[in-house]
Amino acid sequence: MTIKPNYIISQIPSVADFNTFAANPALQYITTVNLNAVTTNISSVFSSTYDNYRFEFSKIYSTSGFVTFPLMSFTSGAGTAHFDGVKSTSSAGANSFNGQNGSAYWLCGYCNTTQLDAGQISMDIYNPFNTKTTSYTSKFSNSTGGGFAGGIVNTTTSYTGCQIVGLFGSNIVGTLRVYGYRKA
Amino acid sequence: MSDNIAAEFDAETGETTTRTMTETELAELAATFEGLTLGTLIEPAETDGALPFIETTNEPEGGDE
Repeated sequence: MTIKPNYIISQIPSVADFNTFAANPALQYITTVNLNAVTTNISSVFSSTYDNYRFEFSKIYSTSGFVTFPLMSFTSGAGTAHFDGVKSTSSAGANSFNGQNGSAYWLCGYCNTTQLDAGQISMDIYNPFNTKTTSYTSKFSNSTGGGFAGGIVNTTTSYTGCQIVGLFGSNIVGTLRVYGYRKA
Repeated sequence: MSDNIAAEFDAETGETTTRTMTETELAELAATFEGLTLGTLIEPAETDGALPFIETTNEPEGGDE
């Protein structure tokens, strides 16, 4: 997006200016994933278009009958999974992975067991496609609690996709919308 | 609703395919959780899904008889 000098009072932004602004939000929509599975493999979601991404999970809960955690690992190519020494830490009242290190997965948030108790997770992922260390921050809540999580993948591998996994094979239900942060 | 479903979502096409996970896949998935430490995770059965709270007391110290 071309950045114009500051407008002065006598100048009126043109229709083209407004259209340019409207077409270039800071968060740009990429895709929507309807989750209803133990593992959901999301391919071709990371690219050179963006460095950083926002994952918005809404109305998320588990149908497996116990409180559980949606987890994340990364993939490349045709769904090749990478378990690259994730470090993840969270603070979610009592329901947390405090100081979890060396896991195969990131902790995204946590889920209750009914749609009535469904929650939301807002997760920022930094540099999954770039050959840099991938990291994240996440905040989450539902009807019974909430908290924060963060962590890194301890390599500089470039990933093109990710996998959402329910802890201990639990079924995760909800809507995931993916956005990219406009670079400039 | 059936459990043990694996979903494949292609972000370029927006298409999703689902299938039932094989016993081998379930075993492999379970293996990735072996040794996982859940920190201070409270067993769901203990709290019925709700976060526990810390009980506090508000009894006066001393005071008039």
